[in-house]
Amino acid sequence: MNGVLTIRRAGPSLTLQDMGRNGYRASGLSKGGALDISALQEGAAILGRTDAPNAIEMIGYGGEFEVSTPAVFVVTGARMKISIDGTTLESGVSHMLHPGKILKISAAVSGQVGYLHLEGGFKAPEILGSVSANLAGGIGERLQAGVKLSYVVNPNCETNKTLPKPRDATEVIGVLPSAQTALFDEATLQRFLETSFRLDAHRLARQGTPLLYDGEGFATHNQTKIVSDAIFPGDIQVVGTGTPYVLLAESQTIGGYPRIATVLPSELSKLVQSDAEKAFRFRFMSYEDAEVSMNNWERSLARLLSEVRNQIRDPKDIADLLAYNLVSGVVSGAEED
Amino acid sequence: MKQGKFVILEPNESVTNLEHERLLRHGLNKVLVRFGDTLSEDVNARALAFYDFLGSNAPEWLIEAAPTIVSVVVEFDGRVSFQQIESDLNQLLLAHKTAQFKTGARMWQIPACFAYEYAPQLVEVADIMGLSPQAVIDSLCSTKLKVLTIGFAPGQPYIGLLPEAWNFPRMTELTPKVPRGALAASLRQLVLFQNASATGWRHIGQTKFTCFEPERDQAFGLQAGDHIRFTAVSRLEYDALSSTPESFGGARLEVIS
Repeated sequence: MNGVLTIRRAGPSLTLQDMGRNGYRASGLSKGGALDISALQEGAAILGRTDAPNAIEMIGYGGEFEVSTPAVFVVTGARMKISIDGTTLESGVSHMLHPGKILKISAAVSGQVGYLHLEGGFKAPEILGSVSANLAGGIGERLQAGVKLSYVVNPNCETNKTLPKPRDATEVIGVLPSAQTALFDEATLQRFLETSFRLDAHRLARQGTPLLYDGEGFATHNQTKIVSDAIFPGDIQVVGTGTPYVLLAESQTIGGYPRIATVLPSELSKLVQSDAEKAFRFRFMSYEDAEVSMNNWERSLARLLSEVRNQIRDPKDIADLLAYNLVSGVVSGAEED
Repeated sequence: MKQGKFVILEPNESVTNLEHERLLRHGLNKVLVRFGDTLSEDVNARALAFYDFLGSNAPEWLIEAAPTIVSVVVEFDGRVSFQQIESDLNQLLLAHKTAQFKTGARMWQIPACFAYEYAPQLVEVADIMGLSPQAVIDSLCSTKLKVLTIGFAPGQPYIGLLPEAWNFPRMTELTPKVPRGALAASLRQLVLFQNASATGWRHIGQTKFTCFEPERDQAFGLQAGDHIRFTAVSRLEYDALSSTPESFGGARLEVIS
């Protein structure tokens, strides 16, 4: 059975995203998919899904949504302001949305990119094996007010489910050498590692994001003579002005600017979700450490389902205890924190 | 992770036991097999041929490969050591050297219109090249061209190489918008735009060729290595061409193996 989600109001950057498309690089189509793969998988796990996850990706701001059947939803990734009929709800915890009520998701309080997961996921036509919009590649469309999306009703979803730990905001992001790192001199690389960067949140897009910093740029000597070559999400390219620009899921496949380093995939979520006012630095990892980081990340994603637990609440914090849905998410008080 | 320490970069470049090829590691599990640092037909042809060779001799660790203009980028299974990848790639490069050289087996003939409203910078390019606009059109249409690589946008080709007279740089000011199907020139190459784009390349002709249409049976039209010839058509002939993605702008495809 399917339900229908109606978008009443939409923030500037809402798209349907899944894990993206593999195998089209030779045809000039980048993988695309969710900017924050961890958040995409976390939401699916909270709703008890084991199939390929998808969600509405919301950069910076959400929108207003209605459903045609009682539906369990969760917002993962950025912590966003969420409410139904004026009652504030928590990000990262599953809640019930009833037909006739309006779910309002507004600005990100911390982080940048939120994911709205609903029941058993959205149903949309697959194009080249994926439902992801790849706007730069001409696939799919931005989700705007008035759009309706089908979703699969999933009897296994429960409210009040969450995952144990909030992801830690970090001040250090691990990178590895790119194929062009050697084109930068030692002094420039050293300065790159000593510089505090911030995300240029207003310009964060699915193709990439410029970084903010104080001081001079990071240009190479032969910047303009480099033949275009393959580029990947995570690559930190240095454009003509010397400003580093981090390429993300929907980047083009070939580029002519040199890449000073490339962010390890397991470190990319941290960068994408970094608060605008929070500075971070880059650090070159050894290949051994990078492998360990990737293995740990993959293992942590693989065990998400088994880590889902009930959200423990202090009854004092619940405004109207009787109205609270205690049927599907009974808090026993015995859960570990 | 060790904190707060500047880690000296490990060498991520190794010279192969071959003449020009270099292996450049990129991130954890990618490596560029680079056939030269400057663009030439020979370097591009060797990169494309190695890409084909790799496709038919794929090692178990190969996740995805793609040709760029002067390289083949190889994504490998991170569970295999880089030493193993390097050694296998070196062997493949050697085996490829002695293998039969394969040339592109497909030839496209693509109608292009050079009437003023479809080629707003043709006169400018003619001035730069010191030729008449007709001589520029003749040069473009008589050169045997190849798709050097597909990239930037899905299905979008970089086409070359045009004669040396076409070796003029990109503009410093971008043209705000050229339409889908536009032919634009710079540095002895042409781009046939998949989508309406801003560009620093000069707009010198127009086609109705759709490089990528996700709903079309053959979603991607061109492949790296395809031969291309443009045929000049009049404004009337051009306007009569079908605009549907399925008609490939009136292009003809011939297999010339």
